Amino acid sequence: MAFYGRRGRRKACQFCVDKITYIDYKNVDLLRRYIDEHAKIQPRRKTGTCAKHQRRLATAIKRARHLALLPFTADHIRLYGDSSE
Amino acid sequence: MDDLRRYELYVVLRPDLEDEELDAAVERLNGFITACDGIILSVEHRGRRRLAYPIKHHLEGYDLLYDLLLPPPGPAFVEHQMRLREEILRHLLVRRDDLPPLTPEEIARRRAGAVPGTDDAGEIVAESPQSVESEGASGEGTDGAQPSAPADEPSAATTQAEE
Repeated sequence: MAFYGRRGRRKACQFCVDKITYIDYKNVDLLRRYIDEHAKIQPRRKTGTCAKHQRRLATAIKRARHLALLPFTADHIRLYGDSSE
Repeated sequence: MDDLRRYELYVVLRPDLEDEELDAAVERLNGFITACDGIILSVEHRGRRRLAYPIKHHLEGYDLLYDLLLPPPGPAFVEHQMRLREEILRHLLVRRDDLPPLTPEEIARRRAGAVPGTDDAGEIVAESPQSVESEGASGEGTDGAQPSAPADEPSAATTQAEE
């Protein structure tokens, strides 16, 4: 249990906890939790995701963006709404 | 044909296709896959949905999801054909090595049978005990080419009946 100075306890990687090996690009509700209001992919230091899962997560988000399942930019959200049905 | 690989294909079609145009587009897609000796395991019509951003001025898209097997030159061919079709707004073809591979018997049965219906991957799991039983009746599993042949007919009939 590593402690990181005044920031407190290190978060555990949610994907490791849930034993997820394949992060599905179709699981939009899950991926949405890892992008901010500007549609940017959140850094590991904010979400606590481990390096392995962060790589897979980034790939999944990029695939989802290609298929217009997720927005690329804040303009997409502002102009075309959040498409969460 | 032991070098078939499992892929997932996600296709976003234009939302303004008429019913018959949609059917034609799906038929054409199926044709691309079968033309390069691929096997379609399932097709899921995910239907119309709002896009996160407009593509070619379309705010909506019609989604299709394929589970399929392709031999090595297949993906390049299928992707090339898809790029030529203007009704396809976006497509994504990815390897799915993380899914359990199909046994040679299952592949043979899939090849023999008609194109499966719009069911999901669950039907593969449901069918697998059948092939195990037919092998067990004749002894060893690996030389199951002959015993699995008679099993093809009834299983193909049931898949068609399900449709």
